[in-house]
Amino acid sequence: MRGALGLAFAVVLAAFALDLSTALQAFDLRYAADALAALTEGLARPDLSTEALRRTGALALDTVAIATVGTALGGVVGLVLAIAAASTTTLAHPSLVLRALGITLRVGMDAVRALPDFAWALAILLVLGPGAITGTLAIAVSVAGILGRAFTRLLDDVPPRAVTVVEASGAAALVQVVYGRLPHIRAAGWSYALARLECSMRNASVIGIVGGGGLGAELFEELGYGRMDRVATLLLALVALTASADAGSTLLRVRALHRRSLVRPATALVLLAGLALLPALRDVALHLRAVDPGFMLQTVARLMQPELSLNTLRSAVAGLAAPLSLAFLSTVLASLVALGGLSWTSRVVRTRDRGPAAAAPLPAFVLAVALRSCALLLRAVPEVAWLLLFAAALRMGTLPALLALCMHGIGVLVRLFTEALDDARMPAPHSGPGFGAAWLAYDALPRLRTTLGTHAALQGESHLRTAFTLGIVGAGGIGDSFHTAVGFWQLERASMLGLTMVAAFIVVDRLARRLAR
Amino acid sequence: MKEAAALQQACVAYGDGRGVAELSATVRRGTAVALIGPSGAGKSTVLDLVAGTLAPSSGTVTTLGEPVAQLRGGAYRAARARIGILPQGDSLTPGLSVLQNVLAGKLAHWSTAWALWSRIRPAAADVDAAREALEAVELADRLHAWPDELSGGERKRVALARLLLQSPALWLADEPTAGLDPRRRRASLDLLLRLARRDDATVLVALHDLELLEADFDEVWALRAGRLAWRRPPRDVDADTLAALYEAAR
Repeated sequence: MRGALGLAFAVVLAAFALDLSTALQAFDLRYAADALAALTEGLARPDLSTEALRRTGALALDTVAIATVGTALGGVVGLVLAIAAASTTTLAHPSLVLRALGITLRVGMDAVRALPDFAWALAILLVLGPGAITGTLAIAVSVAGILGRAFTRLLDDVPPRAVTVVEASGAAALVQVVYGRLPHIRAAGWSYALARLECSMRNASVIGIVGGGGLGAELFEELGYGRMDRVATLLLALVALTASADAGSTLLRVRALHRRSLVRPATALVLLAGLALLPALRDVALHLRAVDPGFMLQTVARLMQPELSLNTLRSAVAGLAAPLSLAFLSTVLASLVALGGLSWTSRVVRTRDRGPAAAAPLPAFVLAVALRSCALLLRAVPEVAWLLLFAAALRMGTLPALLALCMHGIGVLVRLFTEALDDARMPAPHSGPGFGAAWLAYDALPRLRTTLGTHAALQGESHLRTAFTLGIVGAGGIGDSFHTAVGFWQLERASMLGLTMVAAFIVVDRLARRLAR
Repeated sequence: MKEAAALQQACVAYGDGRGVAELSATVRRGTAVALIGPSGAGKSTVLDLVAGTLAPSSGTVTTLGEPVAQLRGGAYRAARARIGILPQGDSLTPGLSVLQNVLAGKLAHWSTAWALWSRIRPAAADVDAAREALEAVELADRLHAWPDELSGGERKRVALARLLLQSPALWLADEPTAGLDPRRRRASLDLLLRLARRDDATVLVALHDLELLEADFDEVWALRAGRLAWRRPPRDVDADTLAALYEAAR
């Protein structure tokens, strides 16, 4: 009870911090209604002309290439970093040098994954100019941090008994990891990497907004011109991409579980995708030839020197209020919606568990499938695309950002919560009137509390990173300031803001993990 | 040197009061020793001490003439290569094929570069050696299978093949028959002892199932509460001594 009161208080506080009342007062019903009408009208009639389709197809191919090559590059680098960090075997290695290396690598990966790929794109843009290569590298850097840290955790968590013989062989630490811990985490590692590929596909489809190539730039432009039929075409391509990434990764995951190697198909896929990036590589070469190397070095050097003035620090910390409140509020709201929906979304399994003797209530099954499909659609559209759509109706600001995060969060959490309930294979509830809610409240939820808490906490962490991204796109807060600073070439200031985001993310990450435990 | 392993006044204390206290005993070369005693009597601790993966808090332990736990670098690796361990439970690496699991027995003999290369493309000679080791445990046809396709007994035999490939002078097995079908236990232990004798290796086996004492052992060590209660040849062990050993623990 006290926990619920505390949560309610925190929600009110976060709402104050976001100044949602002002946002709601500024809400212009007529404008919103007109915009919404135009939006739905356009979305209902996508532009299916040959020219539009050809253009969309080419951009979609770029997006796939950016996501695949970026994730593969990041995954390989992340794996190497994780092996290096884990060679010290959970920081208990007798050698001080190896232990120091392990700690440094872990902190480094945490710092790298704190910044969203949008922020990395803005930084890389300064050196390589806009284009698909910038998007690819931005995704690679972010994935290296995220997967590297995830792989490190997996390697650390291998039960010591499972590697006794290999680790008692006296072989080098690297050999021990390669023969003991690494094969152990193979299936889980592939599963993480494929999940990340899905995410990269979503991010690659919008990273063009900050100059990263792919569908995003066009989407942003057409929304600006109000050409909703073109927007509809692009959105369709985007949803088709993310949904097929979802299906494709499920297929590959099954293969990985059946012990078959994924190295060859993955290499073939990445090489094929790499071909699509060749023209972009030529553009980068041209860009680099036009830029003075001294100037480029100076740019990098300036990025390395964060501005430490009190003023910048104050505005950086103040800028954290919006993303922190956004992440917190949206996670709470999305969790509540996903929890509330559980008794409907999970019906599939519960009817199956009751056995063939009980007639499966068909309407419940249909409802569950329909709701899960809605959730799939909600998470297939990237948060940034949701933001742009809501902004078209409500004007850009924190309110559309909150809604965007909620939409995506609901899509993800409905899936995770439902799967957690389904996988737990708990005894079927007693049949009888109104068993659903009572069963959930008194039987299922108390047992699943930790699992659901972990999912919500980790989702909250991801919302924080996305809230930075939404800020970069224009929703306000520190992300917005970062974008402005880069735009005005105030690189020392941008660097300081980036560091603040990293610090905030690491603090929230540690807190989320403690809460989840 | 006649001893394969020697413990002198060896002590280890765990937080929960278990461990071993002032244990002194020697294992003669080429013999097979069974370690028995109630749960928590210190059987696994003795094996860890002899293996050199655990250092005694006081006293000394020498294995094949060396204080293994105190060695570092090349000397440590050389010593490790001569000590084979068969840990309790399933000790195969799940993501490695049977072949790679057996080849892991060579890790102590290989250089780092060769070990890494073998993970990608094992040399024909090594594959032949692995096949030979699997033949000895009658699993040559499962060379390319995966551990999760094998039965519990087959997995134990693969672990034994890994030990054969390592060909150590001292074998340390911790309850090698645990988890097996009761009818299979004796056959599995007999195979282990037979192969060890074939390779002139010394064997130290911790046992839970006392019926297995009828196997081909030279000596039985009885542990109780971290101390050596008695050691005698198997023919001098009768039901009454065993009952007394296990009764006193209750």
